Amino acid sequence: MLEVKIKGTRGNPSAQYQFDAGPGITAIVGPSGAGKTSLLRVIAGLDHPVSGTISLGGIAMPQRAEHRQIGMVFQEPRLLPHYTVQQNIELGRSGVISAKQLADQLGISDLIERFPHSLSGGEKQRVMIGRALFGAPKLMLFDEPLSAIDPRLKADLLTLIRTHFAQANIPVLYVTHQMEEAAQLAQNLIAIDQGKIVAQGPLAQTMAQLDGPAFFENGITSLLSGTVTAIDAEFDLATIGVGAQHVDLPRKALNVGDQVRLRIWARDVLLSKKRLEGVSARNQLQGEIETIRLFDRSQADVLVRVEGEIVRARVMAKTIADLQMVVGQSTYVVFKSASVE
Amino acid sequence: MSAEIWSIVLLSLKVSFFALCWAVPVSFGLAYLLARKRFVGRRLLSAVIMLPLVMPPVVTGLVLLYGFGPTGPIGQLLAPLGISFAFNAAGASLAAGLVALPLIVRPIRLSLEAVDPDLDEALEVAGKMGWQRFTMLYFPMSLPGIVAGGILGFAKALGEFGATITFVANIPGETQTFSLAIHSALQRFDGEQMVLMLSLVSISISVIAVLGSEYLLNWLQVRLSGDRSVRHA
Repeated sequence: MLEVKIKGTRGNPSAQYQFDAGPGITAIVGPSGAGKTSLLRVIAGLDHPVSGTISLGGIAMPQRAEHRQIGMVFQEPRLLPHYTVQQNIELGRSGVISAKQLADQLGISDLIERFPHSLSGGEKQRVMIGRALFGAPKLMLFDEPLSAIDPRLKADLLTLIRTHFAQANIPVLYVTHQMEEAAQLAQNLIAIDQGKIVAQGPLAQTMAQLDGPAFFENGITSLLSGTVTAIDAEFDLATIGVGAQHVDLPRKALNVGDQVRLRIWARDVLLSKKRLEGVSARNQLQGEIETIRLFDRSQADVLVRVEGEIVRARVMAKTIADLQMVVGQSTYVVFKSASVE
Repeated sequence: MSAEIWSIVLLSLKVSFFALCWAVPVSFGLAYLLARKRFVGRRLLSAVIMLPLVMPPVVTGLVLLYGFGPTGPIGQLLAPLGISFAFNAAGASLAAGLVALPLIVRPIRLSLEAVDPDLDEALEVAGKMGWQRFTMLYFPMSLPGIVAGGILGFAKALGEFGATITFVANIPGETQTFSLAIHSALQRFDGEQMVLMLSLVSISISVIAVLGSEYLLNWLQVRLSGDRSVRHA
């Protein structure tokens, strides 16, 4: 749907990007200074590439930003201070839905008469989302919209973005340096570093290809998708089926039938050649070692294919030698906790 | 108040008003160019605009005389159109406005430079064309600068002396504004009363103008920040 093929952005003449993005959320991740914002500005038409084309639905995008019919939410909210919330929403190209209806959907209907100075950062970003939606955009761009938000309000805004855009029938590009946000929102992932795409594709698969603190500030994680198959009311646990296997996790707000993503930290994963007995960690999934990555003399990542997806374990390099781990070997991944999204 | 003083007051207000009528729009245009555009000769233009402020006003008056006077090139060009600035109130407005110009440009330029370019970009993405961004963002944000510059310019025009007397002389009822009238009265042996009255009136006008602009600026600040809780300290 969106096809980007460009060379050279502002500040990095050797930058080079080529990718397609279909409907739904595609996260663009990368460390600070990787060129994420520059890329988004080029797509928005605020900057121009040295060469290349950007097309949407097979049609080249107009030259000027004013004509591109894009919705964009910036790092910091950009509201006109002398306009009310309603007027700020109505700045978007007049769309099919009224500002009041949008404000209802975004949970800001009480604020419609207010001026931006009296709103919190999270509320302002909701107004920005409202403005973008008001214009019935053909492409939606988010440039680290949560970076200036109070951490306690981030989760709400993430949920809001997911509910409005995950099922959207337009491409949504979501730039972030927090892999956590990408993991919670996106179907597809594009990882960039130093003006180049280093990996792209479906979320879990692409995450498994990435390494290091540049992409995982809070530790490397992997994703497993599953379905809630049972609820244990006595211990408040949810049983989540992952392929033919299952794991037990705290229930929280889960119900039978929910589709979930399990995010598992590589440093929390143990590997065992046999199913373990008498350990406190409840969750053991059987899989097959797919890759062993030694990235210094002492540490290594072991990528285990479990039910068609990849779980990463961070282990000592010496362990690999001691246990004689080899690619293709059967192994159990053992973990105590995972976050469920 | 005598009819003579009244006519001086009215003439001074008229000359200053018409001075602002041309100097504010021109200043806005210049300030917009300097604040928002990048072009060759920008610094030079900025310096030239400041000239009437730093040059002796008499020299400014002479420049006008040689340009717009009856024998000046621009004066001769305009003469067939029936436009003359020589020794009349229009000439006094031209001189007063020119001397006030740098004082008007500066605050407008500062207020335009303070407009956040990020807001402009956001409007661009929202599909707003250049003129819409101007009316939604740049013009409202420059209003405090226009008011501040306008009031400074008005005060300067009201008190103008050197350029006016050089360019259009000191003609009662035609070009004799406050400062010129006070100057003339000082030279009369019975002019003391007149000097006192004119000084008092000009002080009153200045005080009213400054208070009015303070009020207006405060009101604008409230409107533009959207913060209705801001009150004048």
